Amino acid sequence: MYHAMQGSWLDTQVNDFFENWTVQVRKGLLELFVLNALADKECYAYQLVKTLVELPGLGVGESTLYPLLSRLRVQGIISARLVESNEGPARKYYALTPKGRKIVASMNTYISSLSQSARTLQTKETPHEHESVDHSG
Amino acid sequence: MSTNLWTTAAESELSRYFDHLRQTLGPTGADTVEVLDDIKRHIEEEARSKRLGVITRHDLRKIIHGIGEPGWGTAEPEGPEDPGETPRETPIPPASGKPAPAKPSGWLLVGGVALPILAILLEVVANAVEVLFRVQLMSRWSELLLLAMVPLAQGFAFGQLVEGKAGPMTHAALGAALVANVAYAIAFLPLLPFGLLGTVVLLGFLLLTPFFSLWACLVMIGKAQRLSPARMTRGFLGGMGFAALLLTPTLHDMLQYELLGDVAHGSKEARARAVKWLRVVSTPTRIAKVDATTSYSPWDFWLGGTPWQPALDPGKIERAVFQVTGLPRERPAPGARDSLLVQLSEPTRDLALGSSTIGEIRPRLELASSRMDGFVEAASAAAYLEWTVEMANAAMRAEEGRMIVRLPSGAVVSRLTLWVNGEEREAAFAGRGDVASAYQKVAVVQRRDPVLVTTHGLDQVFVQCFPIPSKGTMKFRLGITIPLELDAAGGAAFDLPEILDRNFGVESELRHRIWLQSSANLELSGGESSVMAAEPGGKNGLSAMVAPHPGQGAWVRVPGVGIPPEVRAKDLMSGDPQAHVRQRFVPVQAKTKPQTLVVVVDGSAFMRGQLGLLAEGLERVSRFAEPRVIVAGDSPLWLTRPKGGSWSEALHGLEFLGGHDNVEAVEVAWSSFAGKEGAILWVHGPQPSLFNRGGSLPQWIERSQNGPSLTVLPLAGAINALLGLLDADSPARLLRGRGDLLPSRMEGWAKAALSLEPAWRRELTRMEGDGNPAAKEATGHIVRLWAREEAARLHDERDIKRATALAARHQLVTQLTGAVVLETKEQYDEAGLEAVSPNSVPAVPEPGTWVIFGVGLLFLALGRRGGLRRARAAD
Repeated sequence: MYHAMQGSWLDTQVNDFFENWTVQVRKGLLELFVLNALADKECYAYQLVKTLVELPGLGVGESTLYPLLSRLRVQGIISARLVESNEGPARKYYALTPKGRKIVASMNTYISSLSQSARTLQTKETPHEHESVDHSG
Repeated sequence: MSTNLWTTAAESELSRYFDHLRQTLGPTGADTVEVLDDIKRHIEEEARSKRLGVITRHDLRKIIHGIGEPGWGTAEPEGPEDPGETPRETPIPPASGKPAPAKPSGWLLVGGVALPILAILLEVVANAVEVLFRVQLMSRWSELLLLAMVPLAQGFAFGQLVEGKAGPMTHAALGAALVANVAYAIAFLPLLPFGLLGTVVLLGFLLLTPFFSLWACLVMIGKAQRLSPARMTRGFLGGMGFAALLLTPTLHDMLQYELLGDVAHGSKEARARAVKWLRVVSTPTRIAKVDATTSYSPWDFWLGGTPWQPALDPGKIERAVFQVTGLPRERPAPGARDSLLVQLSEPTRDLALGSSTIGEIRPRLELASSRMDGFVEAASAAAYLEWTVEMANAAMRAEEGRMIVRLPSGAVVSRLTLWVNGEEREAAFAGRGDVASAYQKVAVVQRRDPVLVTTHGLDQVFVQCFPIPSKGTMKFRLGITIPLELDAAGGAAFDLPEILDRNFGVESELRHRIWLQSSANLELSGGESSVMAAEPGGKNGLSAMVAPHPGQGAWVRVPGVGIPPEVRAKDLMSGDPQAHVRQRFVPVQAKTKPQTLVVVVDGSAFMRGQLGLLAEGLERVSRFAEPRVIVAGDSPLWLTRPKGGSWSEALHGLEFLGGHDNVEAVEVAWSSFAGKEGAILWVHGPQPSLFNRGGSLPQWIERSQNGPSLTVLPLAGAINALLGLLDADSPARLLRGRGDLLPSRMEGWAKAALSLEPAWRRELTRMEGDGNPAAKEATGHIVRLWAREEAARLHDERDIKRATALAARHQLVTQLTGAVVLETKEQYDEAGLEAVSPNSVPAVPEPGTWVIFGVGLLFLALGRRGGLRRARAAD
């Protein structure tokens, strides 16, 4: 029973750690996802937001995305324009600015190298794995 | 540009949310205004995708919850709505990218609400549609409701659509309005050209109203459908069902009318089929209410009618109704005036105005009072009755009162008086054509005050008076000279006149007030009460109340008359002071040859209630001679009594169903005599219509020299249309059933036909000079009776001029003469007529007058005796 209790406590710790880590990862990667979504073409804001919200694993809501989009626009990374519509309110379209294209390219390069490094760490044995731990001072 | 509609509660909720966002967005580096705008835009897109026409507070909270504000909204709708929040609408499918419907235009209000209300008001208040276009807009309660519902429903729907709502009630209202609008648009379609032409004078809009209303309804349906089409099926169908329910009486009546048309015009098989279907889809009472003479109704076009010509001949409809039900046309009591429909709308135009047909019942016209004053002179077996009638008209327009009166057998109208501004005006008696055309000109064209009386067949007169003023009355008096019939018990009797058919109502409580005087005792039977009391001068006064309704006929009997002695009276009308008329009763020569008796029995439904009395009557007749009995059904059927059985068994073995024209059976009976002598007794219930205009029977009756005698016995005051075709002086005889006395009446007929008892006939002879001075003096009424007979004789000899002059001089309404009262001397002069002098008309003596009269007679008699004695002494 002690071992079962000890195992359950351990799972909770793991889950908590993982949750915290994913939140930090999503935070860091959210702008990348937004900019990548705009990489190919101009997007209708509502549709863009819907797409991003429905991405598995991203876990972000519209209330987060709209402020982000606004900030990116203010920073000049994306541009916005309104198009009048017969079917309803005027539609907002976002697109990458030249500055945004450069930034997203840099971000993608960096993420790729980071992923590569992570994979490298997973597959290769490092010297530290076989040295005994010298606890003497 | 936002095209969603927001409730005020939703807008305030959004405002609160935005206040919250402003606080959280500050440090993010985002453009707060832009973010708020983006979020609002997002919310509206969400609402559109959820098909929300109106965003409510609940919707908003749900959307906000969905966009990642878990602490703000809720996934499920909250409890009851906040005060002022409109109910949440369910989502609608996107209208293919079309924008939300624009608010309804004010023209919809004009076409869908204002015009229908105007048309209804004009119709209710002033019969405008009926007066202008001869179209009766509302003839049933259900139609009034249907029409009233249109502006109400469309007004409600308009109000809802202005607020952007289209709930179940809105769809129900539009569904109901659609059915009503389509129905009336179809009905008014034939009148569309007239409506378009009539727009020149603006009045055509009345006829175009159904089309404007239909347009408005369709537009509103489109707007409602764009707002919330998911509810169209339930609410819409419900409304349509309700309106269809209101249309059901109209559709039923149209079906009924169509079937009656088949009965009236179809082949024998079609008629039988239609009769069968009518008995399934309707009831005798309902069918009897079918009134074929009403104004054109919008639906009549689809039945083959026009505003100028009803789809079916009213006479044929009446006949068809009778054929199916066996009932006479319904004559509702004036209580109908209390119905809301009649109160809300004026009666339709009288299509029979000025004609010699009764036509439809005028719902606001009634018999206000009726009194009969008279005296009976036992010595001459004659009576004189003055019938004063007052008609009241509660309608907004003047009306014509018309009635057919059955007179006592052998009676003649000898006076006609009209009250004009409180003054009595006497009639002019002249040729029938002259008086009729004077009436037409003065009454119908000039709309002044006349009354006209003409004969209407055997022992019947037609009385018509016009105009009975709106909210006013008209009073007139008929004077009737009556020969009493001697009976086997030594008495003499006469039947009171009765109204056979009429175009006005009679309250159920109304009674004829009867006052009769005589030196003899009087007995009144058939009335509700009668009191006889002694009057001054040794006279008797009989006071009675008699119900005026058919079947309530009353008769007066004078017992102990015996065989009246010879009497005489001066012919004051002849201009010859010496001219007298002598009356005496002479025995009828007994028939020497064997007589065949035939009884024609009406096979209509009415007779079912009379079979007991009829069977007894046949048994009584059979004691003297076995009658041949023929029943008038679908085809005449000779009825034989079962061997050893009774007439009751034979009659009860038959089916008395519907109504049958008896004329064919009477003709068969007549033909069966083949020149032999005999007598036919025709016993019948209501015979309101003739299927073949009487066939050859009227001619046979008038012309046949060797044929049988015909006695007509209508039961319970039943009308007989054939009698209206006979001459007033026809050899046919009318015998009243007198209620339960039917068996004895039949027995009396048989005895007379077989000469089993001595019979007496009245012989009236014009004498030059004093005649028989020993004869008693009688009143001038025997002179009138003589004049009637003499005019008939001259008529038979084709001496029309002398017959007309004689009847007119003696102030009688006969086959050739009539009576008309006009208003002014100028009108009489223009018509070539002259009103009779008030001094020349008969009257009912006052009680005091009886004393003077009696004393006068006494002195006259004494004087004569004195003179005779002197003469004999001189001899």
